[in-house]
Amino acid sequence: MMKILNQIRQHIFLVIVSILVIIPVIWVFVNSVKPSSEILLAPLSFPSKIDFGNYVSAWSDAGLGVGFVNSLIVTSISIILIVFLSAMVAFVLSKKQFRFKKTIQLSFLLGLMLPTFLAMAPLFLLMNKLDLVNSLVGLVLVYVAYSLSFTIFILIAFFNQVPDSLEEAAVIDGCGPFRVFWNVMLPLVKPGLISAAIFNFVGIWNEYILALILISDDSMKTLPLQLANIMMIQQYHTDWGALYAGLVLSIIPVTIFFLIFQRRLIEGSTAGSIKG
Amino acid sequence: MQNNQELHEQSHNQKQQKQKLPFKTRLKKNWEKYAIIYIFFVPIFIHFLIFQVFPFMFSLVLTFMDWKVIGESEFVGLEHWKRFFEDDLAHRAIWNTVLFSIYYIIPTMALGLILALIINSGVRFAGFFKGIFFLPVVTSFVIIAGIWGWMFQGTADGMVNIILGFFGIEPQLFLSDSDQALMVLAGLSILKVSGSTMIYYYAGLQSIPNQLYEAARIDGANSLKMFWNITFPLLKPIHFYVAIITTIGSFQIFDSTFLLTGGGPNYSTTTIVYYLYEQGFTSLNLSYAAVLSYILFFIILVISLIQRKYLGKDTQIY
Repeated sequence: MMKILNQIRQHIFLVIVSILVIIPVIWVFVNSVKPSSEILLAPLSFPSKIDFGNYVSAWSDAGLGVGFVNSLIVTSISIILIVFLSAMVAFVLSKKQFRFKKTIQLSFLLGLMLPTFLAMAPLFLLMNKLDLVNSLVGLVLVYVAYSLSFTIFILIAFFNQVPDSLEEAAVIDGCGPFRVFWNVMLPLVKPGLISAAIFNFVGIWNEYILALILISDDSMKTLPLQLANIMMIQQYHTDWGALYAGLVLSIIPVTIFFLIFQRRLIEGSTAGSIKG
Repeated sequence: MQNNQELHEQSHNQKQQKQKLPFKTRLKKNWEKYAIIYIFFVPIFIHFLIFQVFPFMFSLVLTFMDWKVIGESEFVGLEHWKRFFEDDLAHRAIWNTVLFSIYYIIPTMALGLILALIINSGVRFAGFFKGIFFLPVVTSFVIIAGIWGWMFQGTADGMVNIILGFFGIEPQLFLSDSDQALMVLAGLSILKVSGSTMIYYYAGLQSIPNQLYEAARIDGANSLKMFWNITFPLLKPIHFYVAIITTIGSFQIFDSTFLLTGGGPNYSTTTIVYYLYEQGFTSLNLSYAAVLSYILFFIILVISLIQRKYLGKDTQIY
C-alpha cells in the first residue's frame, strides 16, 4: 500500500514538471493555427477554425524558409568537415609518434578550455579583414575551428581503444597509411564518429551568438537568427501568429532529430564526464 | 611502455642511418614515414591556429589598442583597463551575473537531482519522462526564449498572469519589472538545463552499489536517512562536476537577455556577456569589449579554481 502511494506521489511530481515543459509547447501550437485577431482576443481558447495562414507568412514572408535552408547547408557541411578532419587529427595524435606531439595536443586542449566570448571581438575583425563576414563559407570555417578541439578529444578516446596490432597487420598485408586510416580505422571508430556528429549537430544547429556577430544579411541568416528576428519584429507589430508558427516550425526538426537519436544523446552526454 | 621504448630505439637507429644518406634520400624517407602527418595534420592545425588560437592571442593585443574598424588604430596602453575600474555599468553587469548565478545554480542542481532520484527509483514510463526533460536541452535558446517571453508577458492577458489570476494574484510585470526580470530569465535557464543535470545525476546514482542500501535497511535506516547519509555524499563527484558546468554556463548567459529584455529594464538584466556584446558590436568599441572578455575569463578561471580546491577534494570516494 505504502509503495503504491509512494509511486503515485512520485508520478505527480514528474507529471507536474512535464506539464511545465509540454503545455507551453502545445499551447503555442494551438495558437499557431488561430487567425491573428483571435490570438489577441482569446489567448487561452481553442481556435474556432484551423488556419495555416500563419505558417505561410512565417515560412516565406518572415524568411524562416531561407533560414531553414541556410541552417541545413551550414550545419551539414560543418558536421561532415568536423567529423572527418577531427578523425584525421585524432588518428595521427593517437597512433603516430612525431616531434611536438605533446605541444600540439596541449594547444588543442587549450582550445577546449578557452570560452568563445573571449575571441568574439578579434574574430569579428579577422573575418572582416578576410572578407568572410556575411558569408556562409565564413560561418562554416568558424564552426569547424571551434568544434575541432572537442571532437578530437572524443575521437582520440575511440582510436586509443583500437589495438595497434590491427594497424600492424594491415601494414604487413600491404596497406599504405591512407588505406589503413580509411579501410581499417574509420570503420572501427564508427560509433565515435556518429556520436561526434550528433553532438555537433545539436551545437551548430542551435548556435546563436557567433552567427549573430558574423551574419547581418537577411538572405544569409540561419534559422535561430531568423526566429530571433521574428521575435524582435513581433515586439513592434504584435504579429503573434507568425511567431507561434515560427516557433512550431523550429521545434519540429529538433524534435524529430531528438526522437531518432534520443538514446545516444542521453547516454553520450555523460560518457565524457563520468567515465573519463 | 616497453613498446614505446622499442619504438624509440628503432627511430634512433633509423636516425643514425639517415644521417649517412644524402639529403634527397633523407627527404624522401622522411616523407614516406610522415606523409600522413603532413597531409592530415598540418592544414587542419593551421586552420585551427588561424581561427581559434590567433583570435585569442589577438584579443590581448586589442586591449592595449584603440582599435577602429575603419581608419587608423593607435596604441593607448592601459587606458581601457583603467576604464573598466571606473565603469559603474560594468560593475553592475558583474553583480547582475552573480545574482543570476545565485538564482540559477542551486535550483538547477536540486531539480536535476530530484528528477534523477525519481527516475532511478524505477517508476513506470521513466524513459518517457527522461526524454521529455531532456528535450529542452537540445532545443535552442531562441525557441525557448520565444515561448518563455510569450508566457511571461507583463500584460493581463499573458498566460502566466491568467493562471495567477485564478489564484487571485494581481497581474505581474515580469520582464518589464526590474526586480523580477532576472528571476524570470533564471527560470528559463533552470528549465532548459535541469534535463542535463538530471542525466549526470542519474548516471551517478546508478554507480552507487546496491549493497550499501541493503546494509542500511538492515540497520533500520529510513529512506530520508539513507538519502542524506549514503546517496548525497556518494554523489560528491557529480555535485562537483555539475556545479562547475552550471557556474561556467551561468556566467556566459547572453541569448535570453539579448532576446527578451535587451539588458533592461533599468540595466537590471545587463549581464557581462550582454554588456560585452553591446560595447563591442553596438558601440563598436571592440577594444573595451576585449577587456571585458578578459575580466570575465579571469572570473570564471578563479571560480573554477576555488571550486576545484574546496569541492574537488577526494573525488574518488567509490
